[in-house]
Amino acid sequence: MSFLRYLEEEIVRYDKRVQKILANPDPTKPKSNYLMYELERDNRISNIEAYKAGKPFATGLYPPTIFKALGLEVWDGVMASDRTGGEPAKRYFEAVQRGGLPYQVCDRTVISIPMVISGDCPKPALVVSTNWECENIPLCHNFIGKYYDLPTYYLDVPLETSERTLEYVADQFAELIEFAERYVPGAKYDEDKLIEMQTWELRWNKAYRDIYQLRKRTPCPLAGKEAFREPRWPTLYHDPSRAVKYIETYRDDLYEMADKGILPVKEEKLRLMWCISGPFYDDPFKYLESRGVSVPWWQIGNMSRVSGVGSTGIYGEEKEYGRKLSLLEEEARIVNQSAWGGLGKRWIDDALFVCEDLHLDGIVYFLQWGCTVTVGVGKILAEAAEQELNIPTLLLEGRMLDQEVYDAKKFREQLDEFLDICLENKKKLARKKANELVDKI
Amino acid sequence: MIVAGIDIGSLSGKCVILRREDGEKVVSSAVILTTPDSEGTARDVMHKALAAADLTIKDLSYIVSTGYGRVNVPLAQENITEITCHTKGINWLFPNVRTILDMGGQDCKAISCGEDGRVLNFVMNDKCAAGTGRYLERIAAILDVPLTEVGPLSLEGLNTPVEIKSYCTVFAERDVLILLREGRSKKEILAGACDAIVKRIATLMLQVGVRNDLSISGGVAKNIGIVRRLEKRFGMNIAIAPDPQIVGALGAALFALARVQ
Repeated sequence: MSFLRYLEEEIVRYDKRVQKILANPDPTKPKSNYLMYELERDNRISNIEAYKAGKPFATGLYPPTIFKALGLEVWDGVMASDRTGGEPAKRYFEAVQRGGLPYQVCDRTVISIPMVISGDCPKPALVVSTNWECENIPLCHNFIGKYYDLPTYYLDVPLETSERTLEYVADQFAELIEFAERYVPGAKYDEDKLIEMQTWELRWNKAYRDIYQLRKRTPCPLAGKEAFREPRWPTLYHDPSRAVKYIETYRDDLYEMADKGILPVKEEKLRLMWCISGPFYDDPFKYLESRGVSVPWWQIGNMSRVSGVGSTGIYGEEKEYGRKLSLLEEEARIVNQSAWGGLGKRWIDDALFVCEDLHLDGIVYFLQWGCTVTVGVGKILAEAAEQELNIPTLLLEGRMLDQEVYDAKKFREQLDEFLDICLENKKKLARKKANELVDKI
Repeated sequence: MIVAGIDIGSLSGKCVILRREDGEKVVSSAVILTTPDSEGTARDVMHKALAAADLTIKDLSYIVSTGYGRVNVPLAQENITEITCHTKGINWLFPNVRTILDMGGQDCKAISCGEDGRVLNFVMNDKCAAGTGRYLERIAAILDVPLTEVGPLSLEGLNTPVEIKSYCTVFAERDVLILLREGRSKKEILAGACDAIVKRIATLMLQVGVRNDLSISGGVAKNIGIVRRLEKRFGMNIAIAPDPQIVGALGAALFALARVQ
């Protein structure tokens, strides 16, 4: 088995995409795609170089900002799993079954284990495991920590958001810094570096918010697949400035394409929210577009919240607390806003807010097998969307990486049925609105 | 005016020929086993239905296909999803039905519909054979009981049913073998199998909400054991089409008629 095989395969894959764009640019796609693929490729090259040079890696979904401020390399194993569709995913699922690991656990979490222990990805020097992530991911992180006997810090994020819980989490970040400096050779906290990282994050989020505004347009200028693209923080990359440059260029591209009338759906019949994950080995969005359906938003549970799209603030803003927050409190605010580690109410409130704000006609909720957090919320969200916004929800079962249980025909059949329901419902709501107007006059 | 509806399911191909003359009238219908060739199955079942009515394809004004293989029927002018067609068919037969259970060979769907025959909500189980016709087929095969006798025999075993605990069809087969070795009768085992399938289906139905009237379509509706158990479970009478297997094709034919008009 070759060392860091996943990273090497990824470098080849992204390089092919870069070369393809250089040789034959597609005017219907954002020009910034080139920057993205180049960034992804170079990030992996940097990962390999850093690992070979003996630099310590930290793994855990949060806080990459603090990892960087500690001088650590960041390894996001869960998001790496997301990109293993096809043959690599098959390989890791086989390893999961061979190793006696639970096969029914959510795809992206369980295969992050064989990715690391097979040597395909960097072995971390520090693990941060937290209930902010969900229920399964911390178990995977704990497993990796135990397997290699690594210093593992467990970050406890409370269910509620308040001054008290903000302080509670900020104190843990301070403790994490001490923990890393004590147990990870080479880790040294640099406050100026944290300020710099938060500045990059803020710029990234501002671009993200601009893109959010664009989603309100009818027809939606973003292709359904694009909805899955952005939630990737700049500090996860070796060079956050390049990640910020990418998203800002991407934003400008999207505005330019929208103004020029380059749209994935010319005559928009429906606008849907897509929730949780999807069959990443297929492209249901292209199919939806062929039927005049846009997907302006992917609801992963916390992006509208932690990016400050709704009522919550981000880096430097005084929205919820009415005061300037300390550097570590800023980080605590983000984890405290997460839907994954909070009450189900956050999922519901955020999804309903976005549905209303973006004028969405329905919700496709992908019930990802083994995702204990989101499977339960699906039905509750469906009921809330029906009662509060009069919009229907389609609950679809499946796995995001394992194709073994996927039947494209059945999947599309259910989508077709649902689109008919949404169209009929939209007509009904329009008639109701018109009647109310007539009554008023 | 004569039209056809073709339903290419996973196990069987169905065709309904419909004529409009003082209202819609079913002229003939046919059911054959599905082959891997959806196009061939569609052609064969349609010719069988046409022959029964002494008609030819030239007599047809419009053809609509539905079912799993609907997109592979080039002789159809249009294809419509099976949930919509089943709902249309049931609504034509029983206008007061608001909840439909469509139990096919490969999947099972619970559908909630409005008075105009439109689908309001649905849930599909296409991941597990438990709760489908395939489950009963396998159990019947192990017990060497003809499929048509499963329902009546299961009612005979109502007072002393056994419990089949495995949802999985494969493991249920193993349970059946163990029960046979323990000396339990075929009717007791069939009662247990029908109880298990109803338990599974009821969960699906509760997800869409069960409203009066209730109807079952699909091949499993021919199983009187399942029908009686569901009636008892929900305290409702269940409306069953004269031939529940052809409801999807009937709905497709009704759409065909509407298109021509």
